[in-house]
Amino acid sequence: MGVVTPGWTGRRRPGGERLPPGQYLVTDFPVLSAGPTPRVDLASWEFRVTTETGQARSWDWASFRALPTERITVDLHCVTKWSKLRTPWRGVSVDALLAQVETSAGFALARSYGGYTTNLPVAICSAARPGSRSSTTARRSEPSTAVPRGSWCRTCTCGSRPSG
Amino acid sequence: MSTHLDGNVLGGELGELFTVDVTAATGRCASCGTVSAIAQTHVYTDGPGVVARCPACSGVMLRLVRGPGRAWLDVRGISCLQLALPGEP
Amino acid sequence: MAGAAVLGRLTWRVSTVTSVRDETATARTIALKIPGWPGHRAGQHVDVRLTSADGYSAQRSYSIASAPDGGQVELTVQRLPDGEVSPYLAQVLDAGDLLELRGPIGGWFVWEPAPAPVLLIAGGSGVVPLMAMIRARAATGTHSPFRLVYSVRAPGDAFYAAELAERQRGDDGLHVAYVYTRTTPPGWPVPPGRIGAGQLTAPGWTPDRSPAVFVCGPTGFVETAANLLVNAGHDPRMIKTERFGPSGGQS
Repeated sequence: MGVVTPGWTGRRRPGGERLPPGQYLVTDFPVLSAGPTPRVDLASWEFRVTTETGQARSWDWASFRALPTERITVDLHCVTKWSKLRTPWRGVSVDALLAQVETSAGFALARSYGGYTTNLPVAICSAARPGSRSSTTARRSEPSTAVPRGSWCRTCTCGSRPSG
Repeated sequence: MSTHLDGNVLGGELGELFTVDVTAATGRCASCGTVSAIAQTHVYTDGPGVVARCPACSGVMLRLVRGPGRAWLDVRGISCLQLALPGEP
Repeated sequence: MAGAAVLGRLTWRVSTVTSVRDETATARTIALKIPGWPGHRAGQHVDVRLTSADGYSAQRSYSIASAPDGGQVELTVQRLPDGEVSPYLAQVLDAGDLLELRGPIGGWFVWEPAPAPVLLIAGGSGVVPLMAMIRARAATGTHSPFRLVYSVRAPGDAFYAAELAERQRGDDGLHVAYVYTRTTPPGWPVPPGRIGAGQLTAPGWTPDRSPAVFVCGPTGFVETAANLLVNAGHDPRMIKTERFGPSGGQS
């Protein structure tokens, strides 16, 4: 910790007991894609799942949007110290996607437009764990933040495209 | 999208990771090949981490995230970084 | 010479404020004594860190305003109305207080004494590192021609006005031209307006003289000025820019 500046408190942000120690609360969505917004043409947009055997299943925008969607509300906590509480998401569960392939893989590598990648255990991405859910929203093809808090998990790649 | 600064503002953070100044170092963008001084990159600081983009093509050249007691530095977007080592012949 | 040696990893240091003085109604110059300071080069900056009692901290970058001069360093801080750090520095910090900082930082936007003419373009508080260059030029007895084009909203917003006027009086090689974007002084020959191509050229300052150019200020200003310079024929490789802004820069 740095030398304390007497009388300075900075911009105070309310937290409460849902805010883990050391985190800053944000209420708007921090700009995760630091930079000009990349544009992805919906006509060429694709979501693809490839299994460990090479089996691939992909969805274009229309077929992806036709998948069943669900709504969840979760707390996001980023390792870089910001938290956004009670964030509503609407989207397609990873389980709905995994149900269309056969896999016994333990880990998944997620790639996004913009070149970001991250690895996660499949168990964290899937709903197989009691009480856990996960989803990717169709508009938010980029991962955003991840610490599994028992209810939700996504991955944080700072500088990725904005979610929403 | 937020406005940007330039790589001069990274000098302090990078100065904690490197022993020489990096803002005057030149990097070749891995996306388009343009060579720029790191000081000339377009830097976005509003996110959880810092992103430096190529001033020519906007490709991400560098990402830096600081957490408690550690730093993550991603320079995949720089295919070659040339640093001046002062004091050497 | 400061900056020539490998500095090693930058770390935070604690400095002591030796004095403060107002530059304008909303900006203040802070003089700091920094033990172990290795010296600096004109154009470099420091990062300042404030920490509250519960561990929350904020950092901002501030250009060094003073010429290289041993362990003394001056910063000029513009108070921004909803700044998180600048109101504290510009209004609360006082002589005797401690201030944590890291530096000197920067190897790109620096001027080393040399004979080549230098064109300085400042937008608002972007004048600070350029003033360090003007002061360093005088301190080293360098005679290279210097021209400062300084854009401010109104006369009362200009930093170092009296000092710049005095330096010009004493030195044929230094010239300062103001651009007023909102309010001009009484009797000013042109209405207020943003910087344009006309203010960037002057006799003896055309691109064929190959001046080194330093542009500093908010991002929008810097990009406008840099485009004007390139369109006027200045070689982009001779133009160095530093952008200030609400995040990471001054606030």
